[in-house]
Amino acid sequence: MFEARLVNSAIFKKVLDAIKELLNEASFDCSESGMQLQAMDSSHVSLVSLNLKSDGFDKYRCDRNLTMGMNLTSLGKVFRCSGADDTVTIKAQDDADTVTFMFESKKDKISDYELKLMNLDQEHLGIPETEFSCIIKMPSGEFARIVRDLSQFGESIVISCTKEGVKFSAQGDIGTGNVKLAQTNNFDKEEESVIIDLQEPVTLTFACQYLNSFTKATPLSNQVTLSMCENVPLVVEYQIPELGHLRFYLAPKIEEDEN
Amino acid sequence: MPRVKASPKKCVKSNLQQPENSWVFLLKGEALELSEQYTGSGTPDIVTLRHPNTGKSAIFLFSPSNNSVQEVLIVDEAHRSWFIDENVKSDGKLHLSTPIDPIFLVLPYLRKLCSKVAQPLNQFLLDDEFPETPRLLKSSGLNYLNMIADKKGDEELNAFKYNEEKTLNWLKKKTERVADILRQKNVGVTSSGTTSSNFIKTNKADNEAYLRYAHGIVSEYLVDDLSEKLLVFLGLPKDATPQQQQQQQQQNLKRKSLSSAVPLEVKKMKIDESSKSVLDLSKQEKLNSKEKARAKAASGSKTIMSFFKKN
Repeated sequence: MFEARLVNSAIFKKVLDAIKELLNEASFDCSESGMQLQAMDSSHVSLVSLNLKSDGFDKYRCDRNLTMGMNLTSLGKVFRCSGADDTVTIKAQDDADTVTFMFESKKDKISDYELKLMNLDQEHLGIPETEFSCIIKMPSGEFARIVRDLSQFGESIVISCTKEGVKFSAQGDIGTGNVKLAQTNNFDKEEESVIIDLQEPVTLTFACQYLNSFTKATPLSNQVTLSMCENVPLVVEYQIPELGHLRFYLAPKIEEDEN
Repeated sequence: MPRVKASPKKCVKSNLQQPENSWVFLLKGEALELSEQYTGSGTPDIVTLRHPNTGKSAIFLFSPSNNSVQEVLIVDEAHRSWFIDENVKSDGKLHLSTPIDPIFLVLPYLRKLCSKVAQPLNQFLLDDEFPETPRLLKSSGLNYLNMIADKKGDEELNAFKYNEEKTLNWLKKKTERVADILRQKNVGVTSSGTTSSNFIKTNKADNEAYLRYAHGIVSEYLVDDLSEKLLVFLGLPKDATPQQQQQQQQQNLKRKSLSSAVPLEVKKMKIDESSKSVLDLSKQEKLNSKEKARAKAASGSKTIMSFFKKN
């Protein structure tokens, strides 16, 4: 059987809020090492990869590898029933067709919700190791703000990283917008600084809509890591403290040769 | 399309346990033949796809390896039954399948979704209502997609942008080929008086009449505005006078009778007509607004699968 207990159910809720914007349904692959999720959005342009390590849970037991396909909207409904500081326990029997979520509040209230599982035949993609040309670490709130601001100007954002810093720009019918961030010199507070690890300058274009969806993960972490390389998908990574990480991969836009 | 006259293999599906589920189906042999690489179950699949002219659902047949597509037509006549072995089958319908160029089926999608920006083939060839649509990707006929569209980006991406000029040229060639076949077969296409189209005339019809007739045939697989553009492109005068219009109508009527060789009523198979009333491509997506917006945002991006290999 499978059992995973998380004292802070709010983390799981945040993860769910971060991915349900892009995915309607997804499979959690549970193994001894933890819970993983990999899925593409309906347009097959982005990939969500979630990894929750088993030792990040307060109790974790997985006797047999298990794949739990769930409708994320329904899962959202389940978590809407939970309180902010509830403890959650996720339970499933081997070969079960349902999964149970049990919420325990501090006030001796126990509620459990059973959710029907779905059979999703999802393709697992192998993600090759990439030497990125540049890796940008920046405050996640800042990133969310920039993406939100620039999406008012155009449908795509050009991210261009040089040794001077990183520039986000968008252009559209009403005009253009540019946001430049220079590397922070003061490294006292890592999560508040912009750190650029640059091998070679790179400029790539991405769809705003997707970047905006990725920033739904902002509550998970103070810091976001953007990894870029020519002709390789952008990786937007949010660390989930003590539990794992949530990564979004986004294919770059094809350069238009005319129009 | 020229009507391919091959000697069809007779393939009578008779299921004596459930005779009500059997059909009489005339199938062109190639749909049953297996390609060498193919190792699957080996039966052709009957699926519904969006008909390129009406936008409604119509029945098509995929060969076992998906590499050819055939259109299924029903010849239905009242008061007819079949004898199958020792049984009588009261459903007297005759199902016929003829190969169709898959480009005709892709054209509406291409026109709608890729006229401004290039999009990868596997991104625009999706239809929520007809989940089998992406199977067209495998058909060998799609190798000629560059006849109607410009290929953008690199090879593996397979992104295309609709090119109307190319399309009209391609359709013109198709039409001319149909006209040639009509001429060879001596099909009567002139519109003087009321003659049956399989009445063999002594005086030959002129080129234009053949071309116009062929245009009518090709237009069965085109949306109306494209059909009109093709008419102009072919240099045929639009139906200027009511008299000509009438002729056109007559031709259309005759055209219908030709398609069944004997004057029978030939119908496109329509499934569940009531629930799927006239729907054009603009209504096709039942995605919610979020997904729609995302699909729009995704245009112009490669699919993520082109970067990551399948495990």
